[in-house]
Amino acid sequence: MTLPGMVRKAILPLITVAQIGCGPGDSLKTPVPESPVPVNRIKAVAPTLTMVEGDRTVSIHADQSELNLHDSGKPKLGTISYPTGEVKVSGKTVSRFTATNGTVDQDKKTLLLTGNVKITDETRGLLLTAREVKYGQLLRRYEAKGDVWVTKLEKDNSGQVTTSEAMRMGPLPVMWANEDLDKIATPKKFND
Amino acid sequence: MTKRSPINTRSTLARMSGFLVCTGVAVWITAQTQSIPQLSDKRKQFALYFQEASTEFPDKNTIDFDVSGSPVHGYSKSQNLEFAGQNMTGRIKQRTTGKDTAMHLERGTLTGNATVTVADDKGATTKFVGQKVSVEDDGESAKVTVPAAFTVTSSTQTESGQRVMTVTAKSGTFILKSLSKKDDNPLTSAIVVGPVTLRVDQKAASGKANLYTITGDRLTMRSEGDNKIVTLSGHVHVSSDTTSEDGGGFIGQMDVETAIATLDKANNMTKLSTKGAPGSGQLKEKSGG
Repeated sequence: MTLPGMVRKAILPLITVAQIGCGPGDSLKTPVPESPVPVNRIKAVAPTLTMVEGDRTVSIHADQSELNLHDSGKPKLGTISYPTGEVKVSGKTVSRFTATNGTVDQDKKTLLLTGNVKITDETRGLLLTAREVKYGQLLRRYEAKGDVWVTKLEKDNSGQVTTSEAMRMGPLPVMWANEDLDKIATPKKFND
Repeated sequence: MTKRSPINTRSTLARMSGFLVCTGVAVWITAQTQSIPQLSDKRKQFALYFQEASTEFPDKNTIDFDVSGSPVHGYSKSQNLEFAGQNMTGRIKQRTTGKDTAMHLERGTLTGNATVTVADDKGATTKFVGQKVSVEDDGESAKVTVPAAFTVTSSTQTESGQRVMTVTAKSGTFILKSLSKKDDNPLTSAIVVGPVTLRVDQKAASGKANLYTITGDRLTMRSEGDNKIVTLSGHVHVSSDTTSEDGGGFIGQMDVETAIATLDKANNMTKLSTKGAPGSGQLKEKSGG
């Protein structure tokens, strides 16, 4: 076994939570000869990733993740499998999401979800589905692409959201939505 | 073993091919319909078709919308309502009755070649056409407002054929019974600012005939049972030169200050009162009558 392999094998079981944007942390000094910039890579199982910007927090839970780190140890880009998570504003959950795959970009503060993407707002009983959704924490919105549908689900007598549709809107190639889905519009009309 | 006849084989193949072609066409048509962006309720009792849209959800039963298209168009079956225009803004309310949740148009404003069509219980239609048409329906009463030049056309079926009443004016407000309440006479009152032209035509197999035409500066209308009392005031001119087989129309003309016409359900003028100076006119009996 090579030195990098030994190092990885030693550190990997200890990593169950990776914090992004909290300082350099511990970094793997494992050189990847072909890259012009030393890039470190962490693979994790069942991680929880968190992105924080002001009063906004995005928590991402995944089956697996692979994070590329700068040699400073600060994560830049990560791919995640079967991500689920929520967006919180001032500690309150405003929407939740699930998908088949995801990519986190710490520099741009974005989360790109692909494959059977679902964004939900349980307060209003809204469900947005698309082939791809990009969440921008700085822009504070979701940008959905590919066979986009918005569904308003009915609530039963106890106020619980059911799977029965009260309203459907779509299909649309592109839709943008606020973090809490209180406004959903085509890009042309979103800022009107 | 009997040998299959080549003719039977060919006809079977032809039937299968025809079936596949028809199925393919049906699937294609369905796909095209479903691929048009729309906002609809579960049972398609309400649908709004558009190209660009913005929606907001202020509470669980309300959808505020702003849509545009070429054109925007839609319907509300529970309100006997159809509408179209280049742009539309408004509010949709979701109402739950038992286990069913349906969408209703609470208010909507259409601009750009706007049309709003209301059907009554008997299938007769009233169609508002203008550059801007607004409709409101709060469940108790409804209102249609046309702030600029417009035409409203009301069509009913008579024994002689289709009877069409057309009002053309500069602006108007029409009060109706709630569109959700099925009624064969939904229009209750109207105020129309002119110059106003009211004309009633009869379309029959033999052609189209104008039964009567009334013009004036202003028109008001109120319902009285099944009748409509229509009052035109200011430089009123009443004219007609024909009668129809089942009644309606007269031969003559008048210039008066005010004309009050009583119209029945079929828009026959059953009574006409006039007042004002100088007031002149001639009426002729229908020949042979």
